[in-house]
Amino acid sequence: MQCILGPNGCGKTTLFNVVTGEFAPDGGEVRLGGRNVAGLSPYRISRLGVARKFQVPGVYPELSVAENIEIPLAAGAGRYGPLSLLGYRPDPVRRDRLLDLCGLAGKAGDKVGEIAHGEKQRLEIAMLVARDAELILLDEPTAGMSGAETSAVASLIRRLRDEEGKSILVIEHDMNFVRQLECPIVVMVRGKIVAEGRYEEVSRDPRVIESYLGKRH
Amino acid sequence: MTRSARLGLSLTVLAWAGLGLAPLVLDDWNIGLLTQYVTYGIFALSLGLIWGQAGILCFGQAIFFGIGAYSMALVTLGKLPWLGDSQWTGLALAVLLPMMVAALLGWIMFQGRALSGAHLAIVTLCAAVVCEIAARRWEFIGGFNGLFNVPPLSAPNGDPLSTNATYFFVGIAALLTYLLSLWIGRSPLGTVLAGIRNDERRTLHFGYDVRLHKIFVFTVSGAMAGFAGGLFTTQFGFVSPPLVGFALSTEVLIWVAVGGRSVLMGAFLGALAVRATENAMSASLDQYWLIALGALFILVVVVLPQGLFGKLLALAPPRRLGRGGTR
Repeated sequence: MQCILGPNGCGKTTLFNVVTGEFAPDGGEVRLGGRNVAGLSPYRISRLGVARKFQVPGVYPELSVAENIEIPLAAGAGRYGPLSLLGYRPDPVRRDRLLDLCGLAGKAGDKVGEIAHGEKQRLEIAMLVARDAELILLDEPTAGMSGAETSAVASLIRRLRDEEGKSILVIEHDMNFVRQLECPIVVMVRGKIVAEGRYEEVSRDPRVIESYLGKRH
Repeated sequence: MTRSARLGLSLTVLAWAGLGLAPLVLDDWNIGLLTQYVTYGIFALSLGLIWGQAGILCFGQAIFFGIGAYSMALVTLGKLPWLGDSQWTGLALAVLLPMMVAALLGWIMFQGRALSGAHLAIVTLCAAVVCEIAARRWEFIGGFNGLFNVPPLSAPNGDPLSTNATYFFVGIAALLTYLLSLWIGRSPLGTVLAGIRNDERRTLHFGYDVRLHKIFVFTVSGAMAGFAGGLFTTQFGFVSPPLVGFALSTEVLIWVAVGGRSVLMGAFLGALAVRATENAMSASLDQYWLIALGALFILVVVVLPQGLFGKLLALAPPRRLGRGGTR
């Protein structure tokens, strides 16, 4: 797991957009498992094992919780084509385990547009697990959450790393949340990496303090 | 199963049972009319599938209906001698040709230009206008006047089917089309299409080639519309350029919107209800019926955004998805 920290507008989400194929880079390469994936379309990059969580929860508000899980679950099973989807039957045990993971076991039939914001955030993380990707990109996974919900999401992400063995990249600017993730951090300012290390190191780095609090005169 | 889902299932079964029993209570004239309405119902199902399920708002659905109607007419009138003049060949061509045209148009719109929303609506609208003008000028398919004397559906011995037999043939075709649409809509493919309707970008980032899915469902829908067109021409005995045009494309949108686009049975019954209302209105309101119909449409869309039958006919979700929600 690696966390990318930085103030608003420093290029964190742009980095994710380049990695996931939303934007083609002006130069350089994006290497995934030794292969340059720069410029590939998002669905092709996703099929190589990349799943992304968006800043605004990327869930389907008109669909039920179970339907939200079914879409990535089918993709995780390699059922990408229309005809292969027609004959697909998702594994109910795996689906229930995913619902348990995001704490929505009793809400499979609820419309996602009607569940709480924190539940949507957790549901989207469960959807990424259902997608069975090797690399998970989380863009501000605790945006708009209370302190307690933030801790619950931090714990969920650590479980993904420790129990599911996923590689995870997290974008965040909430230092308290980053500390709870217990992972290496890089700090970006204006599109460049200015510091690297554990939380204790980067939080004392003068360049990081300056980027967050401004220069002392 | 929730109470509303039980009601939806009961009303759906009841509607089909009612259609099955209609010949017991209606005379030949009204059964003939009902056969036409059921044919329009198949047409409405084709739009309900793409609009209700995948969110593709097509203003040119009549293109496929009209091509199906012309295909049937050309074969059964012997204008394509190398294909023979069998009605089965006519029906097969009425499915295949619109399907291919829909695949091509879908490929241009979704793969080539990635059109959606209002842009897609405008392009399909223009395509319908172009097709109608082309049909008017193409002498081989009858030009402005179209093609006449298309034979009605007939039995294997060549005798025309009775009114009731035609009704049952079309009714069974409608039921099979409905079941096909329902199967697609309730399968995991239906869930992915609903996902595309809800958030295309999200679905793309799960690894789905969204354009391919749109082309696929658009193609299936084109085949269904063409099938309806093929059946239509055997009942009316003629085809003419307005069948591929903008006006009919708009009408089918009204049927589906009034019936309820989110529920396939709603779209189907919407066609029957609007056509029956049109018939009654044109008899009692003379030339003002179009104004009344327009007002009814606005009223339904504003007051009942889910259509007249959208809530009533919603079914329980497939068993694999568990309790709650409706399809």
